Amino acid sequence: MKKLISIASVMLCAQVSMAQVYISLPYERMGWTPEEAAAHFLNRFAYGPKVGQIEKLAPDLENWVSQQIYSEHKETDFISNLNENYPALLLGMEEIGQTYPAPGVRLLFMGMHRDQNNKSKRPNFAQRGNQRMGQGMNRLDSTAGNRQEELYKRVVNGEKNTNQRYAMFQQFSERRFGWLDFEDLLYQTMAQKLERAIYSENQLEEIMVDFWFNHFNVSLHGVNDIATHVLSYERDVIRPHALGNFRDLLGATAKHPAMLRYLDNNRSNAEEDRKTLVEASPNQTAFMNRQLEKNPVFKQFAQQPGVNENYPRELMELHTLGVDGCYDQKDVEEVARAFTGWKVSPWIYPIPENLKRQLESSIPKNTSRHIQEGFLFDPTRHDAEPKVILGSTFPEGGGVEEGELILDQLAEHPNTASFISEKLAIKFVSDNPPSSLVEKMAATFLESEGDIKSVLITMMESEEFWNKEHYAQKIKTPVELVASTIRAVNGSVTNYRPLIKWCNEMGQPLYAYQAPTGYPETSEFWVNGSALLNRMNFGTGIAVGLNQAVNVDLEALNNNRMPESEKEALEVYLQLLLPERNTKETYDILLPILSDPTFNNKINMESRNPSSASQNTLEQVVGLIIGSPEFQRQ
Amino acid sequence: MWTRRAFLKGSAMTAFASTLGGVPSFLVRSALAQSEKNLGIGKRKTLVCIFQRGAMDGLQAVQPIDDQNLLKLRGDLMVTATGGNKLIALDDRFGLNPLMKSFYPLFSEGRLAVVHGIGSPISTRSHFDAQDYMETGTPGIKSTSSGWLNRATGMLGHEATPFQAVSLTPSTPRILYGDAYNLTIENLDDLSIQNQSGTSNTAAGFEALYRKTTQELIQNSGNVSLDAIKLLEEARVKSINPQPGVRYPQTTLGSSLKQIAQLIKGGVGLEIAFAESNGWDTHSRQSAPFGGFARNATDLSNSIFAFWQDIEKFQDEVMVMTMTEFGRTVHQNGSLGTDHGRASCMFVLGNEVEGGKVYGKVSELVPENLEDGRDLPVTTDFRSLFSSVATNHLRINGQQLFPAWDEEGLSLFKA
Repeated sequence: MKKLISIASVMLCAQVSMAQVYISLPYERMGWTPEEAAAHFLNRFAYGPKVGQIEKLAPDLENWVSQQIYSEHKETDFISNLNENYPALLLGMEEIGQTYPAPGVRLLFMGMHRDQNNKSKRPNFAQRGNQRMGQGMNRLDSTAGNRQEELYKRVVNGEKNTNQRYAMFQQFSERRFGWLDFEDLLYQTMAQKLERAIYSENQLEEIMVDFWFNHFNVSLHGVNDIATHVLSYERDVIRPHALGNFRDLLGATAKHPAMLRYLDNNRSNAEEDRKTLVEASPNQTAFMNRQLEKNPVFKQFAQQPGVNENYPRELMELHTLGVDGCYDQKDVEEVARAFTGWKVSPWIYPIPENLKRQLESSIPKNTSRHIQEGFLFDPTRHDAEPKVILGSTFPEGGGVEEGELILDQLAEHPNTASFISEKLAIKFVSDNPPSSLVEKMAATFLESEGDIKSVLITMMESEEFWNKEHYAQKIKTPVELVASTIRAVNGSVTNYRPLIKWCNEMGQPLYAYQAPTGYPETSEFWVNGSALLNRMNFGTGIAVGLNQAVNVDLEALNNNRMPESEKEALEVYLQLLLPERNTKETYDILLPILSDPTFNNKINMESRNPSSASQNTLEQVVGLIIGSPEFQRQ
Repeated sequence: MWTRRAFLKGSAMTAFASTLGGVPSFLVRSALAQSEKNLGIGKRKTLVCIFQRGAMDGLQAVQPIDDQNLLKLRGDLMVTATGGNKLIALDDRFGLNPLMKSFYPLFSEGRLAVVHGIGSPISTRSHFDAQDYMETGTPGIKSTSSGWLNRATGMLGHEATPFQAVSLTPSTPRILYGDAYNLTIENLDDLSIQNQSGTSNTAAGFEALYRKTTQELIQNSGNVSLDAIKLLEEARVKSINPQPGVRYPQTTLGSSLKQIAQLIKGGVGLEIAFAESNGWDTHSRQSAPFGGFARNATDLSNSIFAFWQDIEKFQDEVMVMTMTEFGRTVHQNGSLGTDHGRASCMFVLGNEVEGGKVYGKVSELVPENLEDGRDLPVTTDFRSLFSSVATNHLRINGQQLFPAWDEEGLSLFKA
């Protein structure tokens, strides 16, 4: 049955109506009931079903799918709430860098700000910065710069920094420089992710944001270099293009400070013997050399001649073409030359006014220079000699457009289409997706010039997607488990810190997979080590509200009716928490244990009053269901 | 008296084998009964790796004695060869920082070796990048998906317990990323099914669910986790106390090493252990009595010394190796500290080690010998040490462990 979806939105929103498509989901033909199909969608394209949601969506699943693909929910109240809870969301990318500098950056720039007020002396920024860095360290010692690892550990465990000296340092930085708490920025970054995953109506957008972030991974392990920019990276780079065009997404990642720092392109410069697009002025070079000589500490920050191949290699291997190369080391080297001079803009730092003027004048005034939202193209560092890349010749004198041309070329390459399609199919269909499906998706990718919506629709409309073998076979990631649990029990989160900690303990520290591959999409990864034990413990923990971090009213899920026996509790809550699933195995295994009289006696002995006994039993049943193998699957 | 052999016989212990570069393949439980004779207790070697994050100043730890160049470049940081708090001479050229005096008996007994001038061929001075390269074992290449200790685990190639590779850290370190099964647990007490709803049969419920589920992957991994708990309980690992007289520092590293000792003494099959010592980024007050370096140097040496005494009966099977991402500038900076440099030193402890020696090459510290005119140059590639330890202690092919590395390993083992 073909059906024009989302008629209401056509009338409401002209922009959406432009892109109207027919979506036809062949689930009935493939032997699915509408309810099963809705459950499958809510598990794969959303963070799990809420109580009653399947019944609501099943009669008009195509309409829901369309709303999700076009992120139609405006969610004005939800967004304004988010902005209130996480004020960094309202700051521009450069403003975030200037407002929430990392500890190392803070110490460095403190000295420079001091000099601004010291008009009597000709400032020697390098020396003063270094001195201040040292003095700052003296005062702070273990609270700031020296202990990146402890900061990292606190942050991924959702812990607040309760150190007195840290609080004093923070108060001082805020009073004197207007700098806000860096660790709070990282908390906001993580908490907003979980809040959106659980409560946003545009669930597919959240899933896709998670997918693409992981595909173009950066990590807040790099506390001083990267962490500050992660919030903006997700909000300004990933989110706007998550359901948009692949080339736009690729281009946005390439120019964002988080990626430029994470894969080191920021330090990629033309080799010493190469001709650059614009000659660095001898005065500037001499100035830099003098500063470096006076103060070698800045050598680690200074730009040195020499190409860095990290970004170009990952750009091809991980972001676009995939590992089974249609390129070789020579291509990596040539691409790397094309990306020399792609750097972070200095305006992402809290630079004092006088230094700002000096820096501004040091960036050559030339039409080939680009500076925009965190990105700087420095023509004095760009290798302008001819290049041959993937078969195309780039003549002498090319500038920033060389990188753009390479991104074009990579985005429209058939290998990229296959590589991205396969990864999407692994995420949404199966750990081993059928190649016929990947081929269809790749064909759409090429035809639509990388339109992500179209690729997803091809996948959803395929018979392969609706092969029943795939039903409930993927293992949830820890984030998916946390979000789907809270949605299933209709919980209201009052404190995200324990949830952040659980994500880490179950093996997914938020925004902190260190390798550029991102987390693997396949199931094996998520059941390694102590992950499953922690999933069980998360289940029993959440059933009792994680020490009041989450308000859960289990009785309310069942229309305020307390089940009268273990058997009834098990039957009712398996239905509620795992709708449209075959829960016979779970039921058959648990029932004899729950109704074992030895255990029952114990329950009654332990509880002080009868109503608490049944509440305890209910919490236990729900904990076992959430921690069960069945609930780990989606 | 409990022995692992008895445990293996008496319970349905799950074993699994890992294959290099492949998916961990969990063996079905019955396979174990047959292969039991291959699992001789006490025959397994254990490698304990300690990452000193933040970059330890190798020259502050093991310093050339009375070096006039050093006096010029870092006069305030020098430890003198005479006086109350003097350098402990290791040989004619080098002295040990007295803060690390606990290392000295191990050194003089010939079990502890120092490798000086060691580091990465890639000259990045970013902690993040340099740690990444040291943990993947592929300097300069970011995309390596696995860490070298994980690859080493995969190459061990025999049946193992869930405790074959354990990291005592809050999250899985890069060095253990990869396909081979490993366990990350900061505190062994957390390895249990917690009971929060006040009822007694939760653990029994989970045990039944995971052991009986028909979903193979979850069942296999669930079995391993549940067996791990059982193994820990039956070996009474959590109640194994340190040897009389052994006192671990009350620090993260002290606690990690204490738990590693429990696993070794409990005989639960530990072969690769990883722990961290944090906070070596000493940009300031490096020689202050209670500064970052002093705290860390004392902690490191006392923790390792306590550990070594604690595992007295197992010393022949155990080796400890420290690593740090880079060294620090030879000259002191404006705040009596040092900045990011190149080479540092590493410590290797074990009865197989030809100890009591300072290995590596440290040229005279004149400016023309320094890298970029400021740093101790790297004269030994870290892979040279790591591959040698893997080959000689873990008995795996250390060269194969490091792609694109085919040089001889550093020779510091007894013949």
